[in-house]
Amino acid sequence: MPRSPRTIVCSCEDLTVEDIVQCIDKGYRDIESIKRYTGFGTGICQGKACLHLVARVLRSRGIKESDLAPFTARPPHRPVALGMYAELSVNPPPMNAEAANKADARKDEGFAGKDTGPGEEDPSVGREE
Amino acid sequence: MTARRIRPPKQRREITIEHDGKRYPAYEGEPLAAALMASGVTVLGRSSKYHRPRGASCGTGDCGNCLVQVDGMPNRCACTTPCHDEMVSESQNVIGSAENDLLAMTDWMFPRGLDHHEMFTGLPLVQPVAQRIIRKLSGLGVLARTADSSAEREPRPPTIVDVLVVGAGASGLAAAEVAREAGAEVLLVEALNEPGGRRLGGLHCSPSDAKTATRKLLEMGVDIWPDSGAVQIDRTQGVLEVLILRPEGLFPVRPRATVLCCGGYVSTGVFPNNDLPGIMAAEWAARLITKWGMLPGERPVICADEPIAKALRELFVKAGAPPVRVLPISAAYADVWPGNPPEKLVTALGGKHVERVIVENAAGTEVVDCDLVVVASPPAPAFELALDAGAHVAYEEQSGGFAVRAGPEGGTAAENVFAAGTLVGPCTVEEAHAGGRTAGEAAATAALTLLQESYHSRENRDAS
Ligand code: FES
Repeated sequence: MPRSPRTIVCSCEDLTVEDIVQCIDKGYRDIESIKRYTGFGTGICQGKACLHLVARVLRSRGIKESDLAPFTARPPHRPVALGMYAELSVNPPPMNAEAANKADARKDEGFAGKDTGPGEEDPSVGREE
Repeated sequence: MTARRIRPPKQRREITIEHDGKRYPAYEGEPLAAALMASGVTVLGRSSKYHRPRGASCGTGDCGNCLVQVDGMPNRCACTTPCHDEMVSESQNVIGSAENDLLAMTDWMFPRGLDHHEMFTGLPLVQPVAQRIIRKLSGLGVLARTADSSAEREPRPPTIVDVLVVGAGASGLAAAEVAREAGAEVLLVEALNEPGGRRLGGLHCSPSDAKTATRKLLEMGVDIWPDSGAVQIDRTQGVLEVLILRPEGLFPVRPRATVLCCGGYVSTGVFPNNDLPGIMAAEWAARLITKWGMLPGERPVICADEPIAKALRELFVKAGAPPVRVLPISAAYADVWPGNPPEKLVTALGGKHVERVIVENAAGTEVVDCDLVVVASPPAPAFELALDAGAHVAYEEQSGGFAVRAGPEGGTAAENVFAAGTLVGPCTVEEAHAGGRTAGEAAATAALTLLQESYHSRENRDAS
């Protein structure tokens, strides 16, 4: 089967340099708008392989560096089976015991600090309140 | 196509795998894409819209060109999925096979492109039918019929560490070492199955450097998780949590300080047919040769600048496949490169694998026969996690990507989140190493200060 000579910039959605240039001609001149119009960056790579190529196309077509900003990064940044999310507990178990054990171990290593018995919360939790 | 095994990978068991109903020899633990390449299979799948043939091109699980269905699970990257005995894989999104996909006719039927904004829209009867067909044609694999019962497992409590280092490249390895030296408990996570980053292929220094560095870290008591990619960072009530994706599931980690050393993403140029199988990232080609004894092509065209060009040339000469042409990296991006590159890769040609490239320079136009194009692109920073955490990024001309803005000590706009290496801008392995050290030290100081503070506040509370 013969192939068409396309220059691919977004391989998940099969978008070409031409597609992006057409988009610029239509007046979409920033990455977010181009994403919404063409769908680039919405495939399985989520922008990892295409964002910098589209940015290069924009730069080479006269768009200012200061006008370039990436679209919102939406986790997860790699494909994750939904079952794995289901497996995460919504309310993580209290970390008291583990944190306390750790703190004890650290004291032996020579860190200043009073004995923190079980029942204490983890030092890093709620630090900002 | 002349990809072939030049020597068996070290200490690996010979096994048999099945792909699209055929049986192939493989070595245990090698990437599926490498095993199939050894038997001449380089078309692993088809693109979603035009059904163009695709093969492994980045080698890091980032581009999505090598997706296959493995043991019933759709959308696995053949470039990072390790082979095991009797593994069964299939190509997805094809009618027929990946090699001969009937749907490839869309590619030549629509040479000027398919615009989904105008196609089949506004026709009341045609639209729903057309949409159903289009959805089917652009699917991504088939979901497993039975659900994994893993949801019934005990939830995993978050792992608490002083310093979490994400990415075990030059900067990550250095950051972990320094943070540990400073007395912090350190967890180092790496998305690929072994630490080393850019060093693995041996293009920037000897891959044994990475091994030595890793061994040293283990001796110092740094916890290292391979096959563990950070996929998400959340901050709830001031507590930062990083989700780590491992083959067994998601592992939450709550670090006191975080050093992001996630490196960058490569690409394979901007020229017509840049997506042909046989066009691949330099690091991937190098890893195939050094690590897996797989020569990805007999007549390579290399697009790279010094010193990587020299390292690649030497690598291929040693493997018995001297490069047929070496071009500056700008040639592969001529259409979008700043300024006027002296040479231009006009197009790649070939049916299902690259067969030749056309090169243009002041002297004229030249057709170069080849079976491999290796591109050493400047990596674009992998900034997503940094944005999750609240850091800022700015456009970076050399890679075309967005680099994380970091202070001299690697500090970012996000509290207790530091960044180093390629993530903050283009750098050599030595620069990445130095940046990693500084950021590692700053992170350890931040984490230990937090720890001390919490002890003191506790003392005060207990005293009152
Ligand atoms: S994701 Fe496998 S080659 Fe890019």
